[in-house]
Amino acid sequence: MSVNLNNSNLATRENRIGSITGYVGTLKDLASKSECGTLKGCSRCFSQSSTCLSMCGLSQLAGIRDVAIIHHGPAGCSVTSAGSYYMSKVMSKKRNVTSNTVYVGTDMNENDTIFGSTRVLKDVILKVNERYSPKAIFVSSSCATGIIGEDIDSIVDEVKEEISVPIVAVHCEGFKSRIWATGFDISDHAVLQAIVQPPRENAKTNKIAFKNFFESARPEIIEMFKKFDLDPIFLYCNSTVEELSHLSECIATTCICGTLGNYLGNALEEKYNVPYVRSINQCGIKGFETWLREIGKVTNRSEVIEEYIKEQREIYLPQIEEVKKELQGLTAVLGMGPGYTFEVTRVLNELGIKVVWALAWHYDKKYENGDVPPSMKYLLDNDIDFETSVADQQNYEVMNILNKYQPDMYLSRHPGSTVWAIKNGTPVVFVADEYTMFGYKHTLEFAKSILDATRNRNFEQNLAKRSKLPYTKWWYEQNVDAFLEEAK
Amino acid sequence: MSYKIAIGSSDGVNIDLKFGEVSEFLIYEVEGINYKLIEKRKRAFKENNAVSGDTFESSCDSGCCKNGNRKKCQGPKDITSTIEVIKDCRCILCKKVGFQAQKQFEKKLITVFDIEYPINQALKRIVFYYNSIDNNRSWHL
Amino acid sequence: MAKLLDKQRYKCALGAMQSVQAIERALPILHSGPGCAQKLSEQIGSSGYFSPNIFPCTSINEKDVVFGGVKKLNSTIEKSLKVIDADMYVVLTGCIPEIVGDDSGEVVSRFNEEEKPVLYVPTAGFKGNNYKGHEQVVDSIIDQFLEKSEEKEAGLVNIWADVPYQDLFWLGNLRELENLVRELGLKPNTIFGYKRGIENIKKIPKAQFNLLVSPWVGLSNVKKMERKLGIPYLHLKTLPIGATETSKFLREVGEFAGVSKEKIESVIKENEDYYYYLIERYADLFLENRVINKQFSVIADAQYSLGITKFLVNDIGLIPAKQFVVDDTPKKYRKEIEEEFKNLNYGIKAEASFETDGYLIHEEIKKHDYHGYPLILGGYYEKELTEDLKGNFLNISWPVQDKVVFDSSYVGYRGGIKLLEDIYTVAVQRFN
Repeated sequence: MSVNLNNSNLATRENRIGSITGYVGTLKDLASKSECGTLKGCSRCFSQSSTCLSMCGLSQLAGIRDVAIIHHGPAGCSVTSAGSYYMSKVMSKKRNVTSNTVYVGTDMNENDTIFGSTRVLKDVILKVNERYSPKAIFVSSSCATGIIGEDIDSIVDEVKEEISVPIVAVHCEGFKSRIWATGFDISDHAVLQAIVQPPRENAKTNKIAFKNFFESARPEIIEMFKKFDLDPIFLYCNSTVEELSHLSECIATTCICGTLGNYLGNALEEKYNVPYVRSINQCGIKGFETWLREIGKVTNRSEVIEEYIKEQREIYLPQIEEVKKELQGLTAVLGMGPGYTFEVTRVLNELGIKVVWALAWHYDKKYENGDVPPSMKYLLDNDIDFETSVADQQNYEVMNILNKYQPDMYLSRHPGSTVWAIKNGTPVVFVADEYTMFGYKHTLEFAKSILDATRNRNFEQNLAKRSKLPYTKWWYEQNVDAFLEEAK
Repeated sequence: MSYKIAIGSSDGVNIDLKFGEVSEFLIYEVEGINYKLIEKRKRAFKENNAVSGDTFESSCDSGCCKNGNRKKCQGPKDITSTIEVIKDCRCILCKKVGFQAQKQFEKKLITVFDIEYPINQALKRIVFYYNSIDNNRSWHL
Repeated sequence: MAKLLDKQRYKCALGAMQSVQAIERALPILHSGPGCAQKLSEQIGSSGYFSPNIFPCTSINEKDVVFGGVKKLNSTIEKSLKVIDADMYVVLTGCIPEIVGDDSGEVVSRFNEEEKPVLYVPTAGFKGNNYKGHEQVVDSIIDQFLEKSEEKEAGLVNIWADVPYQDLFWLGNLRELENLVRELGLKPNTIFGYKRGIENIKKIPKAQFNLLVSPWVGLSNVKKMERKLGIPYLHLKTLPIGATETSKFLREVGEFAGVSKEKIESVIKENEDYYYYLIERYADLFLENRVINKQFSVIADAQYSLGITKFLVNDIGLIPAKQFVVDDTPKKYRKEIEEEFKNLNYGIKAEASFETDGYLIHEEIKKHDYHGYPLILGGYYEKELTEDLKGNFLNISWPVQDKVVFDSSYVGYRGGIKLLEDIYTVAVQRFN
């Protein structure tokens, strides 16, 4: 892989890894094509909205404490700032720290699209620096500034002379890619460019970089890792610029979701020899154990980790077996990012639930180092097959599938997606938190909450009786791939 | 800085060939907003199991999988070796480009424009576009 | 000119897709990037028959930028008509097609003969904020869907107020305005929210008059309707909150509509009697609470800044510190609105500042001597500031992030009571 940190632009995910959107087939099909790299994706002539990549990337950066994000574009682009403000206040409060991170916009108007506004941008950067004394500044472009040719890079270079904190240009011209997970790569790239420093002399630590979303399991992870003499540094929520600058000294990098972590993990490995823990996600029993063992291997702590696993199994496996009895025979449909879909499928299989269809929002044919995603590999090696399609949050496909298969539950992760299932009468398990199936304890909780969701059908049945779905009858009669031009 | 564009055309006037149909790519060199045809390049080799349109058979025929070597596969030989032939181009213009091929192009950071236009019209537009973004100038149709 | 937008209070013009969403069974179709819909929608309360995930979108990519996206737009509209069941399809364009020069209007016009109406609203993000975008949507309905009607329905009043989703209380507010107008014996007609939709839109040209309850948003719409549809309008700048303003509202509307004085006064009396019954019962709360002091600041759009100021001064007897209007009010309207802030009982004049830079607003508030705990009603950004000043904070303007509102309202007699409940619920969280 070529990580080029001298360039603030990076090839979009589609370019770099060969992701696809728009595929219908079986899992085995998807995987075998993936391994050859001959995947046949499809285009769409009718799409519904998905996600803005700047929202992904910049809200990640806004999780870092005491930094400034300057989003150069019309007021709509920087709407994310309201949500980021809220997040930084409540999340820092939860950890008992403070964050003075600011996220501002530049309210670009019609005149600016004709005459440009790079001079104003420079003033804005200097003003923000003066007002808030951030520890790092991220200056982002937008679709509009991309098209009118605003030279954000030059402005950032100019300003570098006048301020003492790291400042970097972040390129978020959305029309250049349709796969929204690229935003995570963009934020990783910015952090690697501007903040991460080469390791200091003789810096040997037991710190392990832990990339996640919202650290809801942080206290228990810290406690667990203490047993292995490992000290986790959680990114980027509540991270400080100081601790990020020393990521190159970590003993390893790991993440809660492959899609989220693979750019950073691979880059740290390539540039600073920080091993990247590549494994299936720590969801469910198999996932958790495999991940822990991989960490053990990479950090030379296998023995103590094996002991821990043995101990925990004794406590939790019997309890999980009990709940499994009641879950037998249930079916599920999944809709979430690729990092998750295949992981959750494995967990559901562990619990005895059959997955009849899985939609993965986009699919990374190969991760950065040329191999097929581990989660995919696991399913194939263990002979688990199901119908699968790859879309980018295309709800009309979801509806069609739910209507045809009538599963006992629909699992998804992204805002707005669950409500359709409910209106169809399908119980929903919203797998929002990345730690929902983390380890034995949470897997047990997860199993119990599935049971609860499928037991009390009041809410969705009441709604389903009354709600009308917005699709025409004509659509339901079509096959899922009616709008995929090259599927056949 | 100059760059090259590859085009699939049967008559040198229109972009009218699908990627799979092209036997000879027209290569244009662009300098600023000026372009000229500099050469024609043949595709690597023609596949025996007939290529109709641009949709190659979905099974990989490179043979690497059969050998149990599942890592680092580069896709059907025909596509990748064809791409090798035009790998120095910034973008490719064809009537249609199948997704297998598109993905392989993108790995090489070659932009795919699947359009049906007279060559001159398309080139004018593309070079204007690249000229604008390369020089940080506003782009509009 | 671009400027530092620090703690922003509005979205871009494309945010007006929410105004379309608020019209029942109207579907926004976006000619924009793939992410605009999700980004510009509220996280809570955006579900329903249509939700942002459903909005068809051309998801513009590089090829569309270089070669134009009209073909894609055409097929997106075509397929939307086929796949999604709506009464009205409204195409909104974002930044990219408008800079690049797609003639989206022309594409939409190709669907003029369709069974269902397909409208076009140019709402590129850089054209203005979502207050302006909202006006654009209404303008497009007037221009492209409505015709003058010779037949008028006596007593039918179109009500224009608030901006859906931008104001969390929009649904309740509109309903309460309807109630008030109905109590006068008139027939209210609005187009946003539950069971209003296209049938109500069709009624617009038949109205006796348009009632605009807003400092400035919608003024250009009612003027247009006067010209094109021959409908006169009554423009009331103040959103009526509490007894003083609501009674004034009823008098003005009633008089304009030709309702008898007796009727108006009897409606007022009945409402005021109950309102003051409650106020009197809770006088101990108002007069003996140790935590609500006299000085307050409102940081909100013109509608709430003005409306709440008048309520707190004229009804509750508080004193206005500086008020902040954060919706980037067009310059031509500012003077009159400033005057309105000075139009309070007892010669009290509130000073209003039109400011979009949140940092400067906070600096002003910090500088001001509230001589007591400041009462701050504003956006979520003001929460921490107020806590630092040991003040009392109520989140009433965008972004609202510490409460959930379904259909509550701050309008009218009941609205004033509700606002008091909310303010004093904050107050009783502490003793002194």
